[in-house]
Amino acid sequence: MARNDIKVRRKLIDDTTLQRHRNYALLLQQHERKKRSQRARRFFLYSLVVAVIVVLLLALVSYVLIRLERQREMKKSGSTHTVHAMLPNTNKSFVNL
Amino acid sequence: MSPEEIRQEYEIIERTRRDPAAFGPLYEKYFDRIFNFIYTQTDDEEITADLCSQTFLIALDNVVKFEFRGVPVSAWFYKIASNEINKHYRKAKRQKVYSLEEVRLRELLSREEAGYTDEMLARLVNFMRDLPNEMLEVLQLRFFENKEFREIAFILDISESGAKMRTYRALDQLRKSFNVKIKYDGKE
Repeated sequence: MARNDIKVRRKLIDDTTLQRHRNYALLLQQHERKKRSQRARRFFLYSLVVAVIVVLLLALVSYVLIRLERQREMKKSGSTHTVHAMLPNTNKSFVNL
Repeated sequence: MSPEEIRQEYEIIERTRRDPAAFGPLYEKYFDRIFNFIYTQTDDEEITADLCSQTFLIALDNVVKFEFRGVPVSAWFYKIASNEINKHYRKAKRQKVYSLEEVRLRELLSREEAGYTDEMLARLVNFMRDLPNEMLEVLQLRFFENKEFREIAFILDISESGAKMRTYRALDQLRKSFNVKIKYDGKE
């Protein structure tokens, strides 16, 4: 089988054919449309990235806050326990007094 | 093409970066040539119209990225067109069609042989059927589109010496097959 299909044509492409397909106004329209859709796509992508970053930041902040809260609670519960342990002594000393 | 003309075209490109409507003169100037170039490699008017409009659209969309390489702006259009044609054939999974004008083929032969015959033309077509695609591309650009080696190199993304080598090899095969004298640069 031959590598290429070679055809020989006697007729040249005439001006009418070329004129029919030449349309600069349409080209500009297509370009504008493409630019607009690219801009919209870029805007959507940036918004998506920003939304993801915001969600991640919120998740991080809430995680840190929860941990801090837990630590505070643990500290609080730890100090309450100490107070309970000291109370009898205090009472005792108070009684002794 | 003179350096002055090349410079003027680059000025249009510069203007197009700010205002896409400035692209008009380049479109009007090269539409016919690019249409013919694509038609020669598709033999289908509708496909050619699509690929041609796609070529200019890609050029207009990427005008910001365009860099001066010392070749006419038309070489950039030919390069985009060539890529679009190859993309079309890859997608369609079809054998590449070359629809060559008889006048051009006759010119190629009559350069060397006064006694041109239909039988010789048929032999030339058969010879071209078996030429590798890259050789046909350089022959088309060099002899049918009258491109300089620098431009051919830019269009096909090869070195200038590579373009010369491919042309030389194609012409060498032509010489051997037809036993004719063909000058290396294709000029008389």
